[in-house]
Amino acid sequence: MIFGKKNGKKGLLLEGIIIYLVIALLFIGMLFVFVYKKSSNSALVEEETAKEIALMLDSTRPGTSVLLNVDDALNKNDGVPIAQTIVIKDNIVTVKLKNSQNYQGYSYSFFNKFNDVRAAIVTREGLKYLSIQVT
Amino acid sequence: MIKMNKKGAEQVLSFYWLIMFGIVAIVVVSGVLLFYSKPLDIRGSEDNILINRIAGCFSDNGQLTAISSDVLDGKKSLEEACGFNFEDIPANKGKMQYFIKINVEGKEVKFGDNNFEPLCGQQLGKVNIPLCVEKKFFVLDSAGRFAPVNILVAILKVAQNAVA
Repeated sequence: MIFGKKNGKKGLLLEGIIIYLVIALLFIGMLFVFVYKKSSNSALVEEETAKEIALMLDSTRPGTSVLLNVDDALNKNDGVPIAQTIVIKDNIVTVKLKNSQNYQGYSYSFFNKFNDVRAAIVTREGLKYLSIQVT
Repeated sequence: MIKMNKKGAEQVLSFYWLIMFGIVAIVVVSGVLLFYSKPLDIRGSEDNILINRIAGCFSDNGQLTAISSDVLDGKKSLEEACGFNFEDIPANKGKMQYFIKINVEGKEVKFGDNNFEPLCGQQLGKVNIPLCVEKKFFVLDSAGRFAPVNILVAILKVAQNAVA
């Protein structure tokens, strides 16, 4: 018998286990959601993307064209016009994904000097790429 | 004789389970917050790339270039000769974030903030100091002899790499 009945006492074994499992699963689910939200925080993505582009430009020689997959980063875009999400001006890369009035985005400098750096967001096969041409 | 007239039941939400859930939650949350609160430190990679670029500027096919002589003799700055721009973001405007020391066959030249050099080699236990990388290699000089080249690069940029 599922509900044990011995000497007139009733046991609630199965109900107890089910309730415990549901609570434990909810708890674990909440922890996972928290970790996921923290790891995909837009500020972190901005920093990661800016530094990735800066390192890439540091190691690039003039005359090179680069296509960098920024689809994951731009999916975190919170209403910033696409042309203003990733800007490369002088020797500074700025990534902005939060559409806040006084927020300038995350900037990082690179030490390579180029005559001209042309960067644009292009879409290929449904994915967004950052196309960079340096001369 | 054991008395069998007591009521007992398994408490699902017992006090001990709550404490256990609480401890697990505190450990996971604090670990995640600690991990993601620190910025990504890419200075080591930057140092290595800069050293490779300088090495590429100073040597060609394993031989010292004319550019290296210009730089070592002080005729040209490193930025001008090898195509670098050491300006940092506007928040650090005017503050040099790099230090470079190049030694070729005993002839030494330094660029950037000389105050960084004594801090190299003191990374352990110290934060907010420049990250230094030093590399040595050999090239052939104009006379065809092996010339030792020693390049030390230190990058500060602590606000973006070391401070939360």
